[in-house]
Amino acid sequence: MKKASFRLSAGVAIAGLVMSWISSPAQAIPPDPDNAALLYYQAFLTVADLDKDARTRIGDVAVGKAVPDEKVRADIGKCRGAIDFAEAARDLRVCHWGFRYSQRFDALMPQLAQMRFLAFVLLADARIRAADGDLRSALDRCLMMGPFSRHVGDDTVISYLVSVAVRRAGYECMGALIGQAADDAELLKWLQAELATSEGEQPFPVTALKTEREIALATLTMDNIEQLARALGDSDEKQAQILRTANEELLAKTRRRYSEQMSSLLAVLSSDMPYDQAHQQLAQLDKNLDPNDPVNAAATALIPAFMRVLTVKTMLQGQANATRAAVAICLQRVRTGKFPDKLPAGLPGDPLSGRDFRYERTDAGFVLRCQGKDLDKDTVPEFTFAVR
Amino acid sequence: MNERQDERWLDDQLRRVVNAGRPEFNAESWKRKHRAEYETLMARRESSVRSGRRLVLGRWTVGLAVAATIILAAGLLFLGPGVCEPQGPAMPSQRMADSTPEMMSMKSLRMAYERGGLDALDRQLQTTLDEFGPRSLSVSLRELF
Repeated sequence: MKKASFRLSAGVAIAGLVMSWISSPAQAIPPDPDNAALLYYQAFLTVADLDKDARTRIGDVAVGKAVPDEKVRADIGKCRGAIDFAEAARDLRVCHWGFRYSQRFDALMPQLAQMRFLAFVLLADARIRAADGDLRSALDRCLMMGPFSRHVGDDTVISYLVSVAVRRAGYECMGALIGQAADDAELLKWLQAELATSEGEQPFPVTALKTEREIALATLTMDNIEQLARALGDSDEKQAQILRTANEELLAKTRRRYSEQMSSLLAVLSSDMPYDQAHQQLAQLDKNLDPNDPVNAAATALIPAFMRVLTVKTMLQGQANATRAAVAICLQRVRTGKFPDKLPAGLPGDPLSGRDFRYERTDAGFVLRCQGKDLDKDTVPEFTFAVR
Repeated sequence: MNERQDERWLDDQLRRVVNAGRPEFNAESWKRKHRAEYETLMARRESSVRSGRRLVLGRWTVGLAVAATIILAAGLLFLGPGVCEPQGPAMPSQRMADSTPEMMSMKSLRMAYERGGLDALDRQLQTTLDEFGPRSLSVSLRELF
């Protein structure tokens, strides 16, 4: 009995030693980065060193202004390493760029221009794949713009705006490719499912605006008066004037006014009120401050154009909705053999008006037109889908 | 053996003897033995090389400045003052455009957006990319070694 017990204990001990040796750190290789920014920085380093003409060609192909030719194909081929890094970053949740908030408005943001170009590389690659008949991988590249734009980030308002621009470029590319996939029910169903799950990838401006509020409040101090002058004054005279007139009392009042105004604006932007109502309220809040009061002038100079941010946010949602609606319409065409005469019920609608899109058949395909207006540009946006 | 052959033979003999036994100067040994003198000599040599470089650079810079002055003067003389006049009404003095690094700052990008919306922001991002360009330092491990 004792012998058996001893053997059992020895066996367990030996098994434990073997297991700890197998799983010891010395045997495992380090994991890949879990911060997408590290992969993107490597992508920037591995993208091909192209001249301005080559970059312009890539940009033109990415946005659909030009068809991919041999030069662009060769240039994109040279960017394979960068594309691989971007693909590796795709599924990561975290993307910390190492932004130096302590520098406030002087902080450099070199990653934005690079991410913009990398987006063009990815979309040009999508167009090339589509031209070669590989629609699924081309559409997948467009879907990549969802996590990609989330990674561009909402650290600041500028990050948010570039994020939106990248996302919109992805939708525009997708819109051009949907028509080519219009006869493929399986592909359209796959795309429909992917678009439904990617809704959560939309960038949101409130986080960026709150961060920027803190940056501005930290800048509105006498200790940082020179930086404040640089941020507010777009000429030497204006900067000199700010330096001459600033004092702690004025800055304290400005901080209070700025904080109050930002809180009011953020409350409107965060609400669910309809676009036109929100736009009107933002305009009213803007008018409430007398621009001749130097405190108001300083406070509003630091406040971003909220109405434009609202419109940008709403237009992005409009484009997302139009893309999903277009896929549903194409699926109906596959099922019935023809485009519907009127807009099917239950589709995502126009966020500018809160109503359905206006649907119009064309010779080439169809158009989805907003029923509301872009109140900044005073235009009625529409989304065209050509089906071959 | 005639006189000429005798002389050649003797030269050859002397050459062999002299070359065989010729002592060679041992620089390392001399450096060790005369360290202080060697260091003084090296210090003087470096100083003269530096001043030589400064002299060359100075002459080159002066030459360039003279050439630039001549070209500028010629331009003013032949092209006339009209070319240098502003084309439009005088603008209020504005800040010089941000330098390229500054164009990547949050402040500068915000201003671009405030002035011209997303299009202006996009143009500024394009400009910074044109200045710096994408970076390619893709060197494989094999190429390094």
